[in-house]
Amino acid sequence: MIGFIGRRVAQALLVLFGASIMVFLLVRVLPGDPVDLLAAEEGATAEQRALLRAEMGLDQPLPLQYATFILQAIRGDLGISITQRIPVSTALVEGLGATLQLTIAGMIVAVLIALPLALVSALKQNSVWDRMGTVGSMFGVSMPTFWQGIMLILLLCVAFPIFPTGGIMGSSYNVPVVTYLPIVDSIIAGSPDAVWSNIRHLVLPAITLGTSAAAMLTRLLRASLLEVKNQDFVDALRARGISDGKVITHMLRNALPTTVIVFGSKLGTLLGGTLVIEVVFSWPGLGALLVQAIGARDYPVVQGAVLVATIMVILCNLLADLAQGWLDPRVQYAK
Amino acid sequence: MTSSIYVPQTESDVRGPATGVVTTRLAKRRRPIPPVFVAVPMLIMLVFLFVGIFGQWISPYDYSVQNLSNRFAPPGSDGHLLGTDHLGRDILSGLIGGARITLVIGFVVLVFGVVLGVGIGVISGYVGGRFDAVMMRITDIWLAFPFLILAIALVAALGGGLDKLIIALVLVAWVVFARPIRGEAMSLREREYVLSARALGVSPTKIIVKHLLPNLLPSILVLSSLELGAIILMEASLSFLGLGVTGGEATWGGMLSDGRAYIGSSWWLATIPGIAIFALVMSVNVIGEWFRDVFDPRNSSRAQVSQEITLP
Repeated sequence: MIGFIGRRVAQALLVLFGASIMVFLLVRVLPGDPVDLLAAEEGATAEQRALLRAEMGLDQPLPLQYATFILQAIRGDLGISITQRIPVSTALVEGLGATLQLTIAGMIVAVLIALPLALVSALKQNSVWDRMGTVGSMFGVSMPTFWQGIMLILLLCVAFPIFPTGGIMGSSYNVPVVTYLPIVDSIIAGSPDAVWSNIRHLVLPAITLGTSAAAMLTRLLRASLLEVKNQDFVDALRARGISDGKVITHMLRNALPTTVIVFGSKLGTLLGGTLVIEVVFSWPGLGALLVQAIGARDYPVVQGAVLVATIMVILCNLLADLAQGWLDPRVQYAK
Repeated sequence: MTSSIYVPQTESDVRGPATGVVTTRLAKRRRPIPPVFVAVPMLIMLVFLFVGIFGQWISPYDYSVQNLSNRFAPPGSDGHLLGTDHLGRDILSGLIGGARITLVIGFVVLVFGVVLGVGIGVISGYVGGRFDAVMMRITDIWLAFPFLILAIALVAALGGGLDKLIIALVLVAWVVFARPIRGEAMSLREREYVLSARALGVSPTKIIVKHLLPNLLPSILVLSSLELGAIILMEASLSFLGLGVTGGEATWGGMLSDGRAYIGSSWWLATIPGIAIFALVMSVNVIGEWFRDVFDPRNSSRAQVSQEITLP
């Protein structure tokens, strides 16, 4: 088990290394010298520009720049935001908390929807329910997430004003930041109003994210369940008179490893959906930050946000790998 | 008491596995989509294709011309079947123009993505060895990036404009083809006709082109049709975020983004382009599923699980 974890972690680190190189190169490829951008604001002379360039380390060979970048990143220093003059890491942490809260809520919704749907679909294959489930998940996969968000706003904020249209919490609440997760902070601050406001703002974005994730998850889970359903051990369990509920539990336990690993690899795509949802619902998360930064040509923030997002995806893949190893011990001895 | 789980479905279920031989029952496939249900998406796609190709001639208005005296006309008003937007531009014309851009980007990215992805995949699968290992590591790293974020970062890096957008999307899309094609190439590599071709001294290039590629065609087709939907959605998302085709041309995502501000008063600005995107992507996906039913005889559930291609 330890060896398995070690191998997977080592792989993840390798991928992370490669990804960091890509992120680094991505920003260096950008047209528009950051020095020129800064200098243009203050009308600097050639000497001042050279000084600025040396100060920002842009005159050094590329590998050296990369090494500096990595060492600083490990220490948590991702540079200073050009537009806001605050450290990039500060801006990112706030965004990260908001995005995490939304992602977790979305995942909960997704599992709540997908699990029963997939079970019904798989158990009553080719019935009316199965058909509806398949069509439904195809709907969910084809629907543009941002459009779904806007339609939800139209329906539940404009036509019937039940939910607020955007933001993360009512603006009248000032909750001291402890964990950067707004809902946890609200609970810690002991303000039930703030918690309720937070939840109200969370519902629509979480539903939007959850339904698109559920569409994907239902298809995966259904396919895995179908595969498991026809295996001999199910017959064996039935023959021994094990009740339906317990047999379903056995089936799920066997269907989960494949689902988890494929879902983990699709998490990256979901993150893209989260980004768009954040923009639609004015949710102050990482995605919204990234879009703003690109618009404002704030390259340190762009670099930092892409790096953090990539780290999150790699982490999720690693967790999915480890979960698969835990759920299906045979995987541990595969490679 | 009947079990809700196990119902004999096929002959082999009733008779049991062949005696003396260990068999594994194939997971039962879902019933393929009846052709009548594929006719509708095909029709929709044909309409979109027609609009895309001949749009310039059938568009009632020029989308770039603003008509500030007739802003926010609701659908069904005089001369504007789908209404006008906040600048008085006809929404139907916007849809038509957007269709053209979306389809052009979609197919061009698909073709280049297929060429790049299948090329890398089949060479990697056939040659194997270190090249394959390196390529797969690169693919892993590429896959580590969330697709949309990678597209956004690439667009930010390369700048705006149609060609840069296409390059960015191709760089995001090729991985989807590389991995499955590589896997198939690796299994095809061991077939008798390939082995005999190698024994006869046929050059690897010829083997790849004459033997592997034609047999990979069904998979390529299936993957392409499913990926086309993803590409269209990505283009729409990028346009929505303002990172797609810049300049005053009509894009569905851009129309949605503009309309978002007026959702309280004029719902049609944001709703209608979204319906177009949804209809097109749904049709493409249904056709893709049908392709999969038709072309992929080994379509067991396991293949379904690993071939899922899903969209932001």
